[in-house]
Amino acid sequence: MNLMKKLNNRFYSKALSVSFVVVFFTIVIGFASSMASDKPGALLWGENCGRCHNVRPPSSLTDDQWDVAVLHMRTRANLTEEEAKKIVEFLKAGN
Amino acid sequence: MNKFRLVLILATVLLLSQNLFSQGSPTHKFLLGGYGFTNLEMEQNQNAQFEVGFNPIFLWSINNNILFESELEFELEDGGTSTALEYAQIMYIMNKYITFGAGKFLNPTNIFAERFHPAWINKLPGMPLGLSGHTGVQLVAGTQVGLQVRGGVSAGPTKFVYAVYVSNGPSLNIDESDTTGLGKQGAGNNSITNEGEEGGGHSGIAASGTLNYGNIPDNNGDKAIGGRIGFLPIPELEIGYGFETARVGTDDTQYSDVRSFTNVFDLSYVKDYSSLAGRIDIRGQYTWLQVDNPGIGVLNYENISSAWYVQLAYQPYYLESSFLQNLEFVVRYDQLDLPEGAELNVDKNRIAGGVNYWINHSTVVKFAYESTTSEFTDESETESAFVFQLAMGF
Repeated sequence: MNLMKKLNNRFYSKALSVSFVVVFFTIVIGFASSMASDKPGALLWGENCGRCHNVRPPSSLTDDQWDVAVLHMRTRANLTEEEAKKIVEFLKAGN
Repeated sequence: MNKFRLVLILATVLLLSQNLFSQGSPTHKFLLGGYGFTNLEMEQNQNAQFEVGFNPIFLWSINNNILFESELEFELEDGGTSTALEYAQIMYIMNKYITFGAGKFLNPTNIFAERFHPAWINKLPGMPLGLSGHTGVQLVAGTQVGLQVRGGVSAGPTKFVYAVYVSNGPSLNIDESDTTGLGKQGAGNNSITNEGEEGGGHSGIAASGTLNYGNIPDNNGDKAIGGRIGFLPIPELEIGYGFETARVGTDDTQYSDVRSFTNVFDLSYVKDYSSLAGRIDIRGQYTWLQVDNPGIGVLNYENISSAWYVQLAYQPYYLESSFLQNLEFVVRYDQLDLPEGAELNVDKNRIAGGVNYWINHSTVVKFAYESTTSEFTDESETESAFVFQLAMGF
């Protein structure tokens, strides 16, 4: 609880906010050239979608609908571009 | 002439809409999703109640980088149908690592509200204490109105996700005439069975010293700043930290300088275990809220609140019996601690257990039992409830 009170101190509050932004940009810039995942779309579909809810079978939507649904989940679940691309390709191939 | 113009405008809008909604359109694509649910709540010493909710989600993609998303909420309430704009925002994918959003959006700091609150995803009929206006006092916003930047970055086998936002933020509830205390009001909201609305209309209990998360129009010129960073060391595990700092006092009042600071820690772990013949799903969230103590008026106490929950679910996917495969067992403990010096000083803890049966991947029947203990200044009481819910995502 004392740690939490310290965090609420104005100075710490501002320092934390600035640190958060610095860390955020460091991550974005620092890992921009990180290794590309070699996981197949089916595995990424299970890992990412199944983290929050039961996975929907590929046959439940059309190709165009999957485009929209995966774009929605890319923004909601913070999928990377590569993850979203592989997942939507897998879903379209299976419907 | 005016009627002619009106007809012309309507015809144009209709034609444009048809083009927009067309599934075969080369760039514009539309998807209608959402969820619905029906509850039957049998609370101790109260009449059994049915509840119904319907939350359609509208998704338009203009191209591969621009998405508009909106969710509405319809619920039967007080003899009528209540409606609410759950969220509505335009998302623009600027590049591989940055997505920009503007509008009303689910609070990325409150991971339960952002990802787990829909009735067909939430594994129990009720929501954890402190995370929604449906559960009485709310310690963290369900939605924000403002701008956000977010994304995910792979780092070898691990992954980071982030979100940063600027928003109207919450406002401070002050009732100078309140000298009687609202503790009993809080205690009357034990059973928590609604799903859906996460911000605007259900702002919890408006006792002095609490925060109102439906802060429209903004009560001051300052904007709240918040964010969350999550780390996935392995695909099955995500741990996150979120915060929000905001001035919550209303301009030109004696409380105008009062600020709040929120810390949120969350964890989720989902993994299939062949040795257990099924899937283990663990979720938890700890929320800590401090509002400044200006030492004046009705705010003259250390205003610190906290809430947390931990939930374990198990579904025996790998058993041979199809009936047993579709069963899911869930247990959750949650707790809400409010400031001792506050007029609204009711601490709560609750144990809930349930059995779900999945009819298909997004349709579930839930049976749950929950026992809630409310601790007032000089007494405590325990109430129990059985809750049945049928929920479907589409």
